[in-house]
Amino acid sequence: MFSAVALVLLTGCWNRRELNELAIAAALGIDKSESGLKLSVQVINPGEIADRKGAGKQPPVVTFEAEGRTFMEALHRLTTEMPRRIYLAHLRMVIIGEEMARSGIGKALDALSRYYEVRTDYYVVVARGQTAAHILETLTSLEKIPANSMNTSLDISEKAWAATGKTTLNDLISGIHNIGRSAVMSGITLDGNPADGPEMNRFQSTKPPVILRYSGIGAMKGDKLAGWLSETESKGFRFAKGNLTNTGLVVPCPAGGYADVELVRMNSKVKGKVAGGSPAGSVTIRVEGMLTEVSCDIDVMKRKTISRLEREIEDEIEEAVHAAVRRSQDDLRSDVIGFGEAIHRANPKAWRNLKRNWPQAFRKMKVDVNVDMKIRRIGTVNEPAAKKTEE
Amino acid sequence: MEQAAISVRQFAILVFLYTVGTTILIIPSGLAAEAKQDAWIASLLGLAFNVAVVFLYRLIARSFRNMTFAQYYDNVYGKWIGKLMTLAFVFFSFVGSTTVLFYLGNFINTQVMPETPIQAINILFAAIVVMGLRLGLETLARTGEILFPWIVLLFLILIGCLLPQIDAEKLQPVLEADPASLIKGAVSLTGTSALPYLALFMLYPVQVSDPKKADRAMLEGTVAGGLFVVLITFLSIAVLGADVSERQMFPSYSLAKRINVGNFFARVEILIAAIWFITVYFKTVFYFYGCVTGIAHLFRLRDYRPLVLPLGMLVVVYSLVVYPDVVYAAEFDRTVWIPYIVVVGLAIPAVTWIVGIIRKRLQTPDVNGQP
Repeated sequence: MFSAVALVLLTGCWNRRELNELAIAAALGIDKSESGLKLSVQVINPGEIADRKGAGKQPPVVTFEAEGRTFMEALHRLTTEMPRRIYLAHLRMVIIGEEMARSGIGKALDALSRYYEVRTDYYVVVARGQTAAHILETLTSLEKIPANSMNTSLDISEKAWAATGKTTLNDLISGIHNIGRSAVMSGITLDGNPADGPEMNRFQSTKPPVILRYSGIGAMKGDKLAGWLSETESKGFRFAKGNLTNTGLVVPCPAGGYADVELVRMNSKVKGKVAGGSPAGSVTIRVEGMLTEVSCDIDVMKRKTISRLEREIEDEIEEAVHAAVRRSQDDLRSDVIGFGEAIHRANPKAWRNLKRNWPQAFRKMKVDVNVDMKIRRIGTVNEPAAKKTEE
Repeated sequence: MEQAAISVRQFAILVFLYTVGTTILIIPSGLAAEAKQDAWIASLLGLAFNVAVVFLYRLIARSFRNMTFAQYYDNVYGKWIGKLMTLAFVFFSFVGSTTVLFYLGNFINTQVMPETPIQAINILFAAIVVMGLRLGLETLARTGEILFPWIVLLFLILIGCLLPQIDAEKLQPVLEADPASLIKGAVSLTGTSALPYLALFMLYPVQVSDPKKADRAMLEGTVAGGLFVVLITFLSIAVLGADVSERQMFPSYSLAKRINVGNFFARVEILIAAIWFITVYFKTVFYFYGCVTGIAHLFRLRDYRPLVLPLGMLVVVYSLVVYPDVVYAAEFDRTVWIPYIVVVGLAIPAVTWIVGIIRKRLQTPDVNGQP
């Protein structure tokens, strides 16, 4: 009788995890090592996060590292150097060292999708020209937990800067299996001497000597990093993929100087077709924006000036998209924009033959880019501040 | 045996719960593996198959309006062969209840509590199954009626929160899958949802208050449950994509994980999982009901209740014997279950029905002739 009652009451606690026995991992870093991979974990230091007296003496996060032949081996080995069990459900970022990314990430990612504790709402980025461990060791200001800082920074810059993009584990894994649309990952790098990153003292200065910065989009080919898109190419890529808001665009004025336009709305359509046995693609982009800066002498109240600016921006975007396409065709040989998938959607029969040697067919494919830009508002003033008076 | 224990409405709800239970947990993944982005079309086709099965079952059930399926066997085949057939039926419902119980334990073990022994989960779950059956059909039917609105509510939350995440491109190209894989997917859906209705023959139509309306209720329950599954499959494809759905053990649970409204209403998947727990409960209960009433019939017991507890213990033990591990379960479902359920759920009832008609024809001149 007693055991029956105990059975019912205790099963719920079988799998219990007491909060004070857990080390909440905010970010994971995966680097290549001789034995297999090196895992670094950024663990939240709970005493420092809570707002109370005495906080601020220790850094808000601590990093630990361990090597292993597999991801899980490294994760389990970490217990030899920390007093708590790592809890992965609150993971915000996974950072992959560039060396690791170039040699293939499929094997390392399997554990992340298989292990029951891990959710899929974190972002995966590549430590560009760096080891993931260095990135994880770097402290950030404004946001105490670096992983949170990286996470939100990516969220915001994806929309406002356009040359970055967030990638989740599912995006990555479907990209690995799908030759018609390769995956991409943003790159993260650090400015300054990596050795200064972990130092708490640097926050005594208003200008931290080391900062983390997103830089460019890395194109994958299968599960390997094929190369990096430049800033323009990255923007072109993101324009082709759509869903940008608040991105700024700089356009040269006819008589020197620049004007700045902020994107308000946009949508883009990637299409593919097969004409006469050879594939062709097209990207159609519609953009609406508003003028945010005029640092040259133009009369913005004239429709003609505005349409000239519009043409200028259209050319700019078109050029960027073309640059991204060219780069992915010639150099990276990886269909990141997803023309293969577009053809698959439009003409499944032709795709069945085409996909066998898609990498070759993709390289020779012709891509049309059409951009339609409208400037709807010109801001709160009508005359540019730099306008010369004629008297 | 008790008569007319459940109302028509309650019966419709029970059929709905029975259709959804386990199907929604395991089917979307298999459908995506077969038909890729057309999985939802395959599930629609499966719904059509389900309706066809229900029409057939209605036809068959007309021959035994006031008896259970086991009594019908006796009637058609005579005492000895009839008992043998009932034994086969008991075996089927027993296997059914053990597999369903395994699925529940396995789901909790995989996604929620991996270190808790599956035995502990299965014992707890089987305990409420046993409790429900000892309380009787009427209690179970009312429980279903009470829980039904909650399932609908949770389902609406799930759909409402995922609508913004639907990506139409993931559904294209439409109708790429060849008919063979669509049909294969549809059959697997019917095999897990409509063909197991066979177990319900122990209470339908005899235990339903108005047998005529029960036919309609069965159809309603099937269509509603089928649409539920179609919608979940559609969401899996449109939100997760075919390749991700295919890779997941439980795509519908991954769907629930995707819920995130303003970073505030998130991580609620375990609440949504209540849908699976409730529906799987009813599926286990009615498989098990078929099993215990079948045995009661074999041994001419007036009440099935004394059998519930000992057989419940057996079900717990055998839930780990039918499927010793997940991979075995997946292989069994792919290779053995479909042919088995087609024979047991489709061929045997159909043959029985035809034999019954022939015997009736032969007997009509002889008014008093009872075999």
